[in-house]
Amino acid sequence: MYRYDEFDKKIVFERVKQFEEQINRRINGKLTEDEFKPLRLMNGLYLQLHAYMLRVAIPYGELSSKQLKKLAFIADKYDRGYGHFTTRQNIQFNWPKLTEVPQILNELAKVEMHAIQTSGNCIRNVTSDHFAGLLDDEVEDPRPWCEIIRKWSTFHPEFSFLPRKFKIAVIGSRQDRAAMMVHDIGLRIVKVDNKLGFEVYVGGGQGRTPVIAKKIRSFIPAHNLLSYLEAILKIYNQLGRRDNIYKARIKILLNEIGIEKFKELVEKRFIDMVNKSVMVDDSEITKIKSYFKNPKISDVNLSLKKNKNPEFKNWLALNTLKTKFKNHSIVMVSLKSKLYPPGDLDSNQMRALAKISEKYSYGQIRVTHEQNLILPVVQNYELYNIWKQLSLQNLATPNIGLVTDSICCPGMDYCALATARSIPIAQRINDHFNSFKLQKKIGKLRIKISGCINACGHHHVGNIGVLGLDKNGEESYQITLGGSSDENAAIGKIIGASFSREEIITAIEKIINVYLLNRKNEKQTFLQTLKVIGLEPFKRALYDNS
Amino acid sequence: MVKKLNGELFIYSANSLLDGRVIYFSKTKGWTEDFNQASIFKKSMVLSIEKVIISRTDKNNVINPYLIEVDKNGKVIKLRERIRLIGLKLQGQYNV
Repeated sequence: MYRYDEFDKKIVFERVKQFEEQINRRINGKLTEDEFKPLRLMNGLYLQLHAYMLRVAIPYGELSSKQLKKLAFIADKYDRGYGHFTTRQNIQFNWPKLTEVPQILNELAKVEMHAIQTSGNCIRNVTSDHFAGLLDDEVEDPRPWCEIIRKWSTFHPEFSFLPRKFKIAVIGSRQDRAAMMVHDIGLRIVKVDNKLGFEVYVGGGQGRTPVIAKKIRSFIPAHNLLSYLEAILKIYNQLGRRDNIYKARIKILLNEIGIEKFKELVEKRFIDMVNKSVMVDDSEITKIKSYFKNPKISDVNLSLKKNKNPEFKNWLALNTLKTKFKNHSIVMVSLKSKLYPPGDLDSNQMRALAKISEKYSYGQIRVTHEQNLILPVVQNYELYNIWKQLSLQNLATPNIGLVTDSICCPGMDYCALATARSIPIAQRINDHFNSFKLQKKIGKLRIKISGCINACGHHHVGNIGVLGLDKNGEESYQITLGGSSDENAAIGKIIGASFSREEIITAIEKIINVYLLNRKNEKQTFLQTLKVIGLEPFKRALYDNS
Repeated sequence: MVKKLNGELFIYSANSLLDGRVIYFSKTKGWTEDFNQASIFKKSMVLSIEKVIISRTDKNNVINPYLIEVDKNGKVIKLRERIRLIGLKLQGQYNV
């Protein structure tokens, strides 16, 4: 896990004090709202429909039990008893009072957390694979590199006022579990001739102009990573548009000047800077890697007793995964039960999960970009006990990767930018497909729902994407098919005219029925089937009334 | 500056600076969380009212005042504004 050094601690506490003074000046009328707004946004404080919202960073999804308990404390004392995990490994509190935000930030700082750079036109929370360091398929654990980037990018003076926000994701395996290809920069750790480095992808993103990132370099040596990132950001900072918010992301710049020209500019800048700029030296890499050493894994060699409980067996099959550590598994904690909006966790659940993690997973929890949580390393023989305890908290829904495990933004129930509600759609999908038998029959299927074109619910990369729109004052939902955020990332295609709130669940059911009817066998995925049969059968099922 | 308005009757709404809560410009020319106390304006009055509201915004600890359209019975027309008015209503435990 990352650790704050003395410098980190000092600047975070100083930043809290500074923001407290800014709030006082705003309340005393010494700052106008126009002057104050960028200051509050830099501290992760948004104004939503009903209240303020504070977005707290969970760097690359790593959370300790101590931190989770603190989040529970904040939820109870300063908010309304719950938090919402986002698609970028952050947590949001939806009801803080302006005057209490410094106290919240102060509490967060005590457990090495903050809300800095969770908003604004800067480099945002660096995200990663939620299985980082746990599976055999990695070249190397990406977390230390996320931390190196985090340290470099936090308060970077040159990159605090970029043309637009900037998102970076880092992975260490061929399989992409972090949606790297829809980030402004995606980094994949690779080894070439036994030398460690990165494949670099640029210009991915969602929003109103969804784009899959393009490879700009096949190998940048690890020591030169930050110089190369600086070169990219300098070119973007210099040439990115500032006259039109919708054309300000790096993906638009790449589209305007072309990948070859952009690459040429970056390479030239990099050559000018290399070895003069920020080199990552071995001692720093070693030090940071030491923060991410795996816990001393217990060598108790007990296996899980056979258990005939069908609910446990379902959970075991869907919500656990073997790790690279002998006799240990990963537990995926679903935040997609019928009872709660996707990604929400109440303070009692937070405390219970913190306790479970202390007992079984070395006090570690992780947040996934798919709005679930993870207990990263647990002993196999304890899985039944863990399941029982998670079940008591409504945290053992066996649906990871299934149709009810949808990603969903807060939508118009909370968000000031939204054009339609998204949470009720996710909840109705959950109700409609609630039968476990049916979910199993359908198999792995990613439904992703956004309440506006900004695409916080990742609808562009959902196998089935749902976009909420305002059509003459009524909510209406556009469907895209064929999206994916993995290593074969793809943007979904719009299937046709949108559906009303009343029609949308039936439309999704029709799509799923076409899939079930046309798949070769149970192993053929939705995307594979779509590739074979194309969009037409789905269109006919949705729009052909003859 | 008032944008082109389509409706005939309007209410001014905003968020409170201190807690971000939804507020309405009231009949007593202050701000209230009680929608029933909100003042309804005809389109022809909007420009003059806006001047008063904008000039007092920062003094009144009010953020982003804007017009919302209501029907002849004083009911909010747009869904977004209905959601702001009713507050969060979701299936689950968070009907706060």
